[in-house]
Amino acid sequence: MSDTTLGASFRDPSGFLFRRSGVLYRQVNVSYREHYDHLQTSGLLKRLRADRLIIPYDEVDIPPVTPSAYRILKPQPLEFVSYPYEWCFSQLRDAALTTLAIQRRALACGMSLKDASAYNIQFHECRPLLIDTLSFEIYREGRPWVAYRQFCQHFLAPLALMARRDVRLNQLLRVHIDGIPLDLCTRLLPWSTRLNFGLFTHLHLHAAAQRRYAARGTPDGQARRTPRVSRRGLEGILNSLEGAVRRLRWKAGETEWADYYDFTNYTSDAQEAKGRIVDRFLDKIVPTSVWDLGANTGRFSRLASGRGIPTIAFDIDPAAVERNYLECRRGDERMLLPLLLDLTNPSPALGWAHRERMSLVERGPADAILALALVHHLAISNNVPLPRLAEFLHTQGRHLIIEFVPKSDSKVRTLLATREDVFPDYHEESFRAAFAPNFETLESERIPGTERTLYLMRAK
Amino acid sequence: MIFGSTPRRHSRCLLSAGIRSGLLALFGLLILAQPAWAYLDPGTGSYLLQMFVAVLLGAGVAVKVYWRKITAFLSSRRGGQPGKTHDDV
Repeated sequence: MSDTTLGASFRDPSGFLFRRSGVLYRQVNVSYREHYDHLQTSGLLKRLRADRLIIPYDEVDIPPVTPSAYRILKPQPLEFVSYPYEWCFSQLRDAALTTLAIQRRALACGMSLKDASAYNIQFHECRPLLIDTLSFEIYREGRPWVAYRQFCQHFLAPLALMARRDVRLNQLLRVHIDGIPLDLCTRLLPWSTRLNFGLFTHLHLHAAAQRRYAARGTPDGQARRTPRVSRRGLEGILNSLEGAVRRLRWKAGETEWADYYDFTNYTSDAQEAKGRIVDRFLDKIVPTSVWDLGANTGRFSRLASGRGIPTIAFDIDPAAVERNYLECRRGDERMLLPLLLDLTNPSPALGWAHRERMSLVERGPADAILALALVHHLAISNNVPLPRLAEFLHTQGRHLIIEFVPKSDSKVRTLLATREDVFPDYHEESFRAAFAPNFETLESERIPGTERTLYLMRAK
Repeated sequence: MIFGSTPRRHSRCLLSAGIRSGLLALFGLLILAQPAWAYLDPGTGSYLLQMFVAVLLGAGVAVKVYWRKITAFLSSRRGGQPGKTHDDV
């Protein structure tokens, strides 16, 4: 029996995640017993489950990893683990509101969140859920909210930067694994944010308070007394944080890609024909999971998710991902998860010993990959040689539905208009040759009304 | 509803946003009077800020709670239905 403890949960003395025979479990340590029992007896767990705010789990009777175990939990598995730097604005905003909603319920049941990490939230069936059952502690009257700073760093700061400065600043979360430092955030925010009560209080004033008191030594080596905060004061802070988050808005404007479908060189007939071919290929391979790389707003991803196949729709454009997510939410589309990803610089392994946050590659492979209207961007705009592209896709998918876009296509001509054509090998024959070592072509079909061809391949 | 499109109004209290901003700006001036850059323990500042802000915002919550009680009492005296309580999420 070989157990693998997960690198993301090593900081918490209350317990840890481990994998045994491919199944994910969470060990709750004896040291957390009082809090864990209170979570059950206070009715908080029941309430969070009823409101679909926490990942469902079962207590199981299996041998523990260490003698310090109190309980072993088997959480419902997630289709895909995503990270805040892969979320669009509304995903991060919804995750923030979910965290506050959980904290409100916790306070009502005599508990409080001791962690407000964005990494404790995951999207499951298109809804943000708390995945860390050990995030609660019994609330002691008068104690401040210990996770207040973390909430501001993980949620309010990036949301404010995205809404009030530039939506791409969510990528700071990739660098700052415990959220964006508030002094950095306030330096980047426009001065006008000081006129917003919530942002002024929880970001600007907060950063100033950190600066001022961080430098003050404890007098005569005595421990500083923890300040008292009334329950009503905590409610006021939660109201204020929620108001600040709700007032932050970002509208997906006209970016390069968000209006792509309106400005393609496809006729609507060709688009429909392409959809029919993808449909047919999906029916042929019946994949158990799909990654759509370069999904834009998810038109073709929905051909997979509409069949009940768990589908991740990756795109580089924050506006396209935002639109896709809002559409998922409106339609309660549970099988589709839109995420932000730059395929030329995908999410790396991060944190202590590179084990806290998984790279994209570690989270694969998918059963099938859709790579529609993508190859020319990677090969021509980003100089990725076709054999290297084939090698990468081979590591990430067992099946591949890929579209080859030739140089004669108007989109490729546009890409080549301002650069020297140093791609003599970019043609369909070399494309097939580049993929042949890694993939077996099952079928190919020209998309009617275009010069493009769709290939269905299987990894060798 | 957790993430609906309609923003909830939390600040329906007697302290206007202007007064609150003014008070906090004053507090801000006090706190900003001695900037220090050593980054040793940001948690202390967070706790102290909570303490100050909680007094102000907690007062707002208290006013709101009593205001609701008063309006509920008055409406019941008039024979109306007491105001519905609602989930703060």
